[in-house]
Amino acid sequence: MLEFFTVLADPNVPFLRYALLVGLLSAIPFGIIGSYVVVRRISSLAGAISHCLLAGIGGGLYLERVVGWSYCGPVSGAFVVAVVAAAILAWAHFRAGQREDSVIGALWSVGMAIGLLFLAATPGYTDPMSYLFGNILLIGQSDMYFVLALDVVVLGLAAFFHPQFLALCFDDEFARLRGLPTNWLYFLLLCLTAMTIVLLVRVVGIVMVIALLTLPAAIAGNFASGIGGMMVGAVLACASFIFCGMAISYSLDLPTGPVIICLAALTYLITSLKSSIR
Amino acid sequence: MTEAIVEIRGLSFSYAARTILNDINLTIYRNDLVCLVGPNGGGKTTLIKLILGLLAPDSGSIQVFGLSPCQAIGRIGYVPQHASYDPKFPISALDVVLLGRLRKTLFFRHGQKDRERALAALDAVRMSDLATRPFAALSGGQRQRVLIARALAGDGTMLILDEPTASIDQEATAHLYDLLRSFSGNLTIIMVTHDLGVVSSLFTRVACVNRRAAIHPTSEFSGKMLAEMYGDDSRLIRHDHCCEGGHA
Repeated sequence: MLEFFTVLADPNVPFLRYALLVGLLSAIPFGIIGSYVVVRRISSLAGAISHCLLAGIGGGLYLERVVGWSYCGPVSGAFVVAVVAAAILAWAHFRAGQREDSVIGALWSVGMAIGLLFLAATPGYTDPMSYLFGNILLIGQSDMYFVLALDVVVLGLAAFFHPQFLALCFDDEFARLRGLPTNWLYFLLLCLTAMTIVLLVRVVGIVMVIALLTLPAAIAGNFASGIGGMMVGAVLACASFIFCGMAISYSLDLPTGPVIICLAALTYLITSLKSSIR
Repeated sequence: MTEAIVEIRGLSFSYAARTILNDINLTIYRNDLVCLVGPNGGGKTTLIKLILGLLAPDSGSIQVFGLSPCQAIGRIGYVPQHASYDPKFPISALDVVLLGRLRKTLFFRHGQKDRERALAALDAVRMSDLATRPFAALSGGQRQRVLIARALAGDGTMLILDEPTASIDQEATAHLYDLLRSFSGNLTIIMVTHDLGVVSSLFTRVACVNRRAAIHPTSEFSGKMLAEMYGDDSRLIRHDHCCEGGHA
């Protein structure tokens, strides 16, 4: 474990510092948006959005390498698909006739299928594993600015619209009766969730996104009496899972994402058992 | 009791091909205490959602405070039948009531006046000492009162309650009726209920809703009317017994 701190301080190994910094900075949107996702009970929607992102990643790579659009790439592709997926899910939610559950299932797998097709059509070997399971150690300096920008956007919008989001999550019908534009608010909340997931995919990968989005918030929810406290708790829990997960995975030479998730799951199990015994 | 608060003319509404409400005419006046009764699936909740502006009628007109329901949004306090909240939602009773103070502005923050009004609403339902308690830790009856306080906090002059007694015990029900009685004269109240025993003791008028609607003064409310509506008047007898006992 001590070696982890030595390497962290080593000026010749910048990637570990970037990884840690990005991880800790991204704990902020994870905790805040994760709390909304948990109390609004939309973690299956978050799952669908995250799996959809593979279509954006594959499409972005294809456009960049085959079509030659240099401004495209996996991250911008993922962003576009994330917002499209959020729009489809919001639409399905408000069209009474649409079975929301079926739309979630369809998005989930169709997104994966399209992504894999694009990856197969893109020359040169692209390992889908790093997108599916993430690789925090591939994170560079440009990602850090990206995360900082997202921190500002998520914190700003969540702070600005907090009373409205709270009303929407608690009882959307009542929020509508107070004259709030609940459809737009729901779409905005899904967009924020989608943007957070794009970031999350860089850290833990598509498959494990839901765990890192929901577990810290669920853990904090076992203790917090208000949603503000839940968010702070979730941010702190998320940051410590990322920090400890990186330290453990470095020391034991294990992949980082799975270690972070297992830590979060174990903590959730222990805190839930404790609070159910009480 | 002359100013019409809710005016419904020739209203019809159907879900897909099924007619739920047909040619409804109904007028509700200021400080009216109206009770909506009728069989399940008879359209009571639908009628309320039409008044609230959550649904739009197929034909006919509704005016609430002389406006369309969508324009009158925010002027009615509503207590839903099934609240859709997460039972573990981390929120205090006071914060739930503050949701009733939300307004349609882009940037909204609760001010001092909002807090005062929310506390006054909690006081009106005799819940002010539990204001900081987590909503999830309250009993069913207490939660119901907090939701009534949320409806009152918006400063509306009309209160609509959809089967408020469905999920609370008898003692809490008796408290609820005392509470509603204390509002009479200051608020227009519309309540959906199956509890027919309370009809005559609390409300001044009864609206029977079963695809069509007819409104009667409570004094004229009889077993015969119920028999026409439900097709069996034995329910009245059974409910009467249970509720008279409960209120004695």
